[in-house]
Amino acid sequence: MGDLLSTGLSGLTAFKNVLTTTGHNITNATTEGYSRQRVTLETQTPQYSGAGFVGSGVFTSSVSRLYDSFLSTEFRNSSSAASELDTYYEFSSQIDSVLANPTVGLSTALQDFFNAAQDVSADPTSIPARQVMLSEGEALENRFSTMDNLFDDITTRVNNRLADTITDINLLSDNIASINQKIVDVGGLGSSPNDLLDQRDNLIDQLSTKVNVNTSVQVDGSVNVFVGSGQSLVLGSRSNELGLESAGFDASALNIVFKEQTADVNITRFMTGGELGGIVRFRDEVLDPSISTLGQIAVSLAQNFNDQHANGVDLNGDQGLNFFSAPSVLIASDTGNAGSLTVNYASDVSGLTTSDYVLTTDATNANYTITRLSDNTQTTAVIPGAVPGPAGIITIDGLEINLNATAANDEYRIRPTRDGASAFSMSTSDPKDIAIGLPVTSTESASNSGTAGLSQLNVSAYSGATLADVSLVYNDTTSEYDITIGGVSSGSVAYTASTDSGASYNVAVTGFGDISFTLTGQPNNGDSFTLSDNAGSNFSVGDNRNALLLSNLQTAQTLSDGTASFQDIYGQIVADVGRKTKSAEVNGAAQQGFLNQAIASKDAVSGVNLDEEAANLVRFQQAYQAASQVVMTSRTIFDTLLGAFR
Amino acid sequence: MDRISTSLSQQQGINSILLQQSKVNYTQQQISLGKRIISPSDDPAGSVQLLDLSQAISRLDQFQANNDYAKNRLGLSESTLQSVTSNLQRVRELAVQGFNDVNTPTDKQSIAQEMYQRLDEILALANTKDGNGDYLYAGFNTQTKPFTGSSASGLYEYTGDQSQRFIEIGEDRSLADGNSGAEIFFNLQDKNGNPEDIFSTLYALASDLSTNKAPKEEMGFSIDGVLTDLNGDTLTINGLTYEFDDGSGITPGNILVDISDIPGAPATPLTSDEIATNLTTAINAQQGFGNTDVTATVINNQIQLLADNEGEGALSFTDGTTGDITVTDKISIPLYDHLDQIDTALSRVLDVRSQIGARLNVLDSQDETNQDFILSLKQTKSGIEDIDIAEAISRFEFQIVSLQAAQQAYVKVQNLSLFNLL
Repeated sequence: MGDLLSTGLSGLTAFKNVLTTTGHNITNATTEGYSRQRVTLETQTPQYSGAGFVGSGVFTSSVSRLYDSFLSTEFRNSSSAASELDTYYEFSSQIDSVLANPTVGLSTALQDFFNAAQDVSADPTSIPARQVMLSEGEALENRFSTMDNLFDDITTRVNNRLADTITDINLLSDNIASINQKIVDVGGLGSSPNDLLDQRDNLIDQLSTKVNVNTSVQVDGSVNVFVGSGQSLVLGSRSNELGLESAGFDASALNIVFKEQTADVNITRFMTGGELGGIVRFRDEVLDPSISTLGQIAVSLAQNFNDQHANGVDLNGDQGLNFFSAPSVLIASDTGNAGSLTVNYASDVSGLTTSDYVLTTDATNANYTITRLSDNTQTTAVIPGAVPGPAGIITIDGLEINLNATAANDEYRIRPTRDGASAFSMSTSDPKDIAIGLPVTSTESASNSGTAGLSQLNVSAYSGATLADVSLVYNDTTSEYDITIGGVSSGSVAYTASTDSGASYNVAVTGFGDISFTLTGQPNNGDSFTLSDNAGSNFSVGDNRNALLLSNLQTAQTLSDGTASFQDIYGQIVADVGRKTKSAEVNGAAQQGFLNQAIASKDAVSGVNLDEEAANLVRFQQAYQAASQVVMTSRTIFDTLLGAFR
Repeated sequence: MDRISTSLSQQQGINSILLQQSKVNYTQQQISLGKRIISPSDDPAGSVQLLDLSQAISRLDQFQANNDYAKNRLGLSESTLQSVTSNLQRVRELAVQGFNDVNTPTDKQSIAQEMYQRLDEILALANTKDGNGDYLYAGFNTQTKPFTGSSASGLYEYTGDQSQRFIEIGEDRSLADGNSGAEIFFNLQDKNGNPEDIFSTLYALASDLSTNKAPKEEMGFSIDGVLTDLNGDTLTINGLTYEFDDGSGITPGNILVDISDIPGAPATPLTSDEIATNLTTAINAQQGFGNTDVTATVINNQIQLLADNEGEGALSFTDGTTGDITVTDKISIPLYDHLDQIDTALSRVLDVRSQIGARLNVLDSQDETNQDFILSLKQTKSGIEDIDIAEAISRFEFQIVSLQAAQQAYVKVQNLSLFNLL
């Protein structure tokens, strides 16, 4: 009888455990990271009687969680990738929606500015037209600064997000370490601490959405977590921290470092996956290139416009001053540098790239090495001497680098376009200062009897000096135009009408600049042209030639080694950001699909199905009731026995 | 058998609702903006094309504005030069009229007065300003009055330059919006290559007229009597003797000037005009035989012989008249130098006007080209950028239906629970 009672009691105990576990499952159905648990029942060791083994009931052998570590890893990888793409998309769509926006983007402002220049060319003496050109120039300046502010905002947001994410990561690794400790502590009891394991897995899941991590389970049940190139975020019950550090060349450029006692290790480039990976990739692929490209357009526009403007003459007859402020190259000097470096834009900035450069000098300050960071092209050479000269000056990618003041082992970071957009500003405020005339006019002698013509007069490298009359007189015998400058014979240019009509010629006038023109038609002997000064008091205010040359810059291919216009480059960045945003969106959607699949697979094993639990509830309630009937029966039998002896 | 956890089935239901909602939202945005591309990532290649297209359109719009500007300026120039032409023509008429011998010196002076007036008017026209206050014919020197001088001094000067302003009216297409005053009024050459300018020419002409200058290459003679009287009369010019003949035959060696009546018709005397025409024909038939090109005109019953061009030989009249022809000694003035110069000036002005006309034509055709181009660019742009409303609306409707279905499915599925039945 005692056997029956204890058998019944064993059932009651076992089913109570099962019911409790079912209840646990039901109540944790919505708990994040919870794996459903299952009670394993086993028969108790039977008792031997003469007749054989008589069963002695049931016992709870274990409570285990339904968990598949492979599916869990699959899930973490997917969620890490999905969260990287989500974060990337979240940021890049902010830039994407702005770039092509007609009220914020650069494109319309450029068009309006150059249209205003065209209007001035149609009516050069009109002060209102010139005023409009200045206003449009200011609008362009505003547009650059609006976009630059936007990029600044995004940089700030990126940095805040980096800081938040790293705080989260540090907190998570700290928690994982302490749960590791608890798991190790209860490990001696011999049973699996299901809920602690779930909690830890959930923390690692969360960590995966922040950054890609690797885990390895130790024999004592603790888990080690590694990040980046193998830095241990969690080692057993100890956790390490990530941190942020400003890059030396720019306070707003933050590196992700792994904090160690001796020195922090920069692991930025190893950060993949998760929000951190998304942010870093966005910064490298979208944000920084956008800022530099905008800067490239700004620098190139200012340089080219100023150069052409300086070849012109303003309404007062003076040489054109800088129309836009002259851009300057940003240089970050390493704190340990003993020397200094000067970098200017070269006269031709078409080779300008969006990359930063690192320039170092060797231990003797005899050689320098310059590295273009975008493609890591490295050039090492001897610092040029006075022969062939100029001493200490090298020209690379539209930059003129002066190495005369460097010291040994210096390091500089040259950032030619980073500041371009924010530094872009107008330098002209008086409409009369717009230089839209050219400093030379031509006059055909009234007594010319041939059909000769001189046209397309242009000036480059204008010094601002007054031009002494340049006269060209045709000599029939030699088929040459004899040139005299200020009454002094200065050579000649060969001209044979049948072959040379329409050809372009160049006359360099010392102290003034280079004058180019086109000769046409058949001159007779003695036919002459005079090129005379058109500046200062000689200036003819209706001259619009420089306005045409300035407005031609709109479509001139002044960038990317003379293959692209401002608009082309801007279009490239619009397309580039658009494509990257698009691909983040498309890949993000695909990754979300993988993630959903991974969640479904994982949940198919570990998730709680309430219907199933309801069925279990019914089933084990019945089992419990049956077991209690066994106890009841045992009691009845015992009562019967007692009654027999009464 | 797939096990579906309760929370997953719930989450999936919500996910599908969220997905449908975002689709509806996107389509709604597309419809309300009327745009297919909301941000460049919707169609990166298309967005760049849009930027390029809008730059092209904006440039073409600007070219059209430039075109209008050039049209105005050239139109103004054309009408100004038209006035200059009619003034020059009037001066020419005045010259021809004024140098007629019948005019007394006083008459000539009053005609000269009108010439001075015309001269001043042409000068004023040459100093015309455009709507922006710029002088039309000053080259680049548009804020300085290009032509100075007056009929009082007779000294004329051009202070402009020889430049022409070019304006862009299309991609790589620019066009001069005017001509310099030097080209139109000043840097002229007579046929001997001597420089001349319109103002000095007219001034000299008027002065000659008012001072009643002496003749050079012109002669006049009067004819007395009628057809029959003239028959057999001769006139010797430059050594050639011309004989008027009504059909009865001429002296051998003389040159025939036919004054015969039309055969078969009633005898009608030829008019002086007809006689003059026949005389011109006869003299000009002797081109190359020591004679010059002449025109005979009848003015006040007197026939005037005019050598057409200066320097081609003068008309010399030797004493060789017979009969009813009397050579008048009335002396005329060096009209032909002047008339020739006026003609040079007129033809220069007409030449410039035809250039302007050609440019206006170019502007018109460029205007059309630009407009066609703008239209086609706008169509392309719209094709890339604008939404197909019919397609979008039907898509929108479908997405709404899908959203509703997802919501209903969610509610239905979530109501299914075994616990409801316990």
